[in-house]
Amino acid sequence: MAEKTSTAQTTADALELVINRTFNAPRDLVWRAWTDPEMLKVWSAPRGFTIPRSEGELRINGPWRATMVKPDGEELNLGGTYLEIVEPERLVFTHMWMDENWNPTSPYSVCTVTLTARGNKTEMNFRQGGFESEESRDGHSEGWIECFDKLEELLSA
Amino acid sequence: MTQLDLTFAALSDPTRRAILSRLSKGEASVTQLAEPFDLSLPAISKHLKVLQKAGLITQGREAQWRPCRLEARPLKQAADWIDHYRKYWEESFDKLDSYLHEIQSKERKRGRKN
Repeated sequence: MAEKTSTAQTTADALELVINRTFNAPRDLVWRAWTDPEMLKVWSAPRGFTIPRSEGELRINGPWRATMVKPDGEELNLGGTYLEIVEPERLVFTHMWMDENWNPTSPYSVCTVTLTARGNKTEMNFRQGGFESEESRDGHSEGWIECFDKLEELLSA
Repeated sequence: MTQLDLTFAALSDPTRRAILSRLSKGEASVTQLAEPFDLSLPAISKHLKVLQKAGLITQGREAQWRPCRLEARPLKQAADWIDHYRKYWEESFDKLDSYLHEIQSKERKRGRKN
């Protein structure tokens, strides 16, 4: 089994998901796994899911789409747009759940994948957030974290 | 708009987040909420309306000072939504990890044959 270092957290200030992982593979290969639709079919869904359809145009503002089949057979469409492509280190794209006509059914989020080469290994920093604009992230983060601490208290009370 | 859309839209503003943060410490009047900001009361009221519409706060009718209060449930829903994604990606990255191994061992085998 591979060496796996993984941490996941939800940063409270931006309601952002952060996952760090180190893969035992060169960065070019990890980049391809993230950007080649055929390769995405193999891995980019949870356990028990299949991805019969995956396509994308890897260019700025290029669309990507995929259809996932849940273990119970239900089909889920999802897709988005590529916002930033810096091969082989940074990929930014939007991510949305969609209905059968490819209309969004969820708030859209922004995923940012940053790959750092460490010898033959690759460190990946994955972020999903962007439920808000960049400029609105200034300041107040401390207060927001506090808010979430309090929220936890409230919810467990 | 779904509840999640409303929640995320309401959370997208730093002033509104700061207001929620203040309310997490206890009820407050509109004047108290406006204090830390360089904003007029009508501007604060506008933010409060957005938060109210999203169900993130309620404002009392009984007392003279009509205190605002934090409603935790929609925030919990938003946090759950993020958590759902955490599971989604963690499982996907496990698959990516094995896939990367598989590809590399295939390539190594091919390399030996040549």
